[in-house]
Amino acid sequence: MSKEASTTYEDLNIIGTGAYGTVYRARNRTNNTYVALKKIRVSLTEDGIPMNTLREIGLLKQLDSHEHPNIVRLLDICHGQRSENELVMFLVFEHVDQDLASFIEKWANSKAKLSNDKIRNISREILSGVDFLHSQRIVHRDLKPQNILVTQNCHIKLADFGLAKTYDFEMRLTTVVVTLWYRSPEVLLGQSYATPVDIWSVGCIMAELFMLKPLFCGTSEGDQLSKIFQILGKPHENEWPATNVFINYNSFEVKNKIEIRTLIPNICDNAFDLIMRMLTFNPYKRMCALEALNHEYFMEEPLEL
Amino acid sequence: MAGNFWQSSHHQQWLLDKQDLIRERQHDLSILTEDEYQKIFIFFASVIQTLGEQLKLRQQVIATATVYFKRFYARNSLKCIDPLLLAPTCIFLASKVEEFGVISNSRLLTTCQQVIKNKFSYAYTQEFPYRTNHILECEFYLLENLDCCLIVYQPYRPLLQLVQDLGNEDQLFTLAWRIVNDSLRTDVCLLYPPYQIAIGCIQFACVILQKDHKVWFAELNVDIEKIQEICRYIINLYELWKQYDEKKEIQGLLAKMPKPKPAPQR
Repeated sequence: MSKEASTTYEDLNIIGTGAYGTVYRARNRTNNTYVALKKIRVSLTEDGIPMNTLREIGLLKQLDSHEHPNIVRLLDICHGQRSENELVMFLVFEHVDQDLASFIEKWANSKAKLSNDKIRNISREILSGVDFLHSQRIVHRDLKPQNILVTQNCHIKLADFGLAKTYDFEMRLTTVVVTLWYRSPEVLLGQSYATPVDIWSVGCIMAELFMLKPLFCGTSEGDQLSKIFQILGKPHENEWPATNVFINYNSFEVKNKIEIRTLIPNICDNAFDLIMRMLTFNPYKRMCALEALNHEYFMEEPLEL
Repeated sequence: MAGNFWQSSHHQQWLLDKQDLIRERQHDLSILTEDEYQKIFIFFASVIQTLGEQLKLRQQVIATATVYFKRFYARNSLKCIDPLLLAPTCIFLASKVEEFGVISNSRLLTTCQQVIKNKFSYAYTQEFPYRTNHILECEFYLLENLDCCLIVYQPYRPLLQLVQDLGNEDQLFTLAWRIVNDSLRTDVCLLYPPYQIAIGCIQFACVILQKDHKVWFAELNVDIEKIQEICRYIINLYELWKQYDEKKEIQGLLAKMPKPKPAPQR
């Protein structure tokens, strides 16, 4: 955070707006490289910079010092305008042209299938990034193809964790539509949640890589759950959370059950097994990232590293 | 703060080289001698310590504030910000980062006024001149200059573990702890990792208490040369302290110190 953003970075265009605030593509005037600027507004009071902002900044800095290959690099933190009660900060990330959503869309339009090796590499790299975040006690909470970046050489970088999250709470109050498609049952049911929520998202994303379209496309919390149950079956009643549930177990009736294998006909047994273990209803029984990385699916020949 | 020191910004960005320090201080050292420069930093370390104690902060918070203060001036001249403003700002920021909680600005400012008047009147004849808006602006500037590296590792935790390993000698622990506090008045926190500082302070304490722990030290897998360097910094500090009367000299030193151009407005 060495300087005012506008002196070093020239805004070019908006990459994303809405849910997580505004992200700009910008050019670094000093070395002519492209970066992603994420704009964050911090309310200031007599207490100065809020504790949680300081904590997040420290955490992001700390995280970045590991230089994990599947985590987007934080290049700089700088400031914009500062007024009496608000401070604008910019998190400067490396810029990656493509996200997994547009990558999948491109393949879907090309009528070709993604090769199994590519799917495996992408899945492994996503899991490897998630495992790293979890080892640092960070739950991403909003993994989806839009915030998974794909480099030119088809490597994966996770984005939008940490500070981005603080601002996600605000978006609930706005009219911005948040995608529910990758949300785990415990989140949809309003339960407390932890690292398994990210594994659920990875399971959905992995299935999407095979299908080239999303697995569960719900339009509301309830609808999302019925879409899940339609494909995975309704969990046993004793798996249903006992307390603080605002959606009743009996309010779901699964009709026209779809066999998941028919949705992903070309999938190998190991990949299917892995996806099912990640899409386990009970978060305590769901596989963790490290276990997933050690799954047979990633041991199959040919190994590409 | 838990986590891995070796992967931290403290290790990767903020263990400086002695040559870097000399280069960065060139401007200030064209006005002050090295001794005078250190005396000013000894003085402000005491200001931070006293403020922290008045505010009933844990030593860890005080130490982090002092490290922020030293890091800031490791990259900036004393004329960039009046150290009398930066000192409370470091405490304000460190208390939040160390999750000690927010110190309200009015309490911080009242404490500054009292401490300057009651404990440091030999240095400042006028009352503490800064207000909330100065602190808030300064906090922002401090954060920038720290390059947002807020997590600081301190020697206290390794000190505790090492002394336990040595067989839990209370007297040794208390003395070594005090030496660690004193070491904040030297540059060691900018130059060496905290566990080495802890070992250096234990060795120093052993010498003073005439305890023979040679075998224990020999079995430690550390760069003994670094430990000796740390001890030398501490010896130099105590030597300097012995032949120096802060109460007499500090006003002259503060007057000589490079200053920001526009004086703070009331």
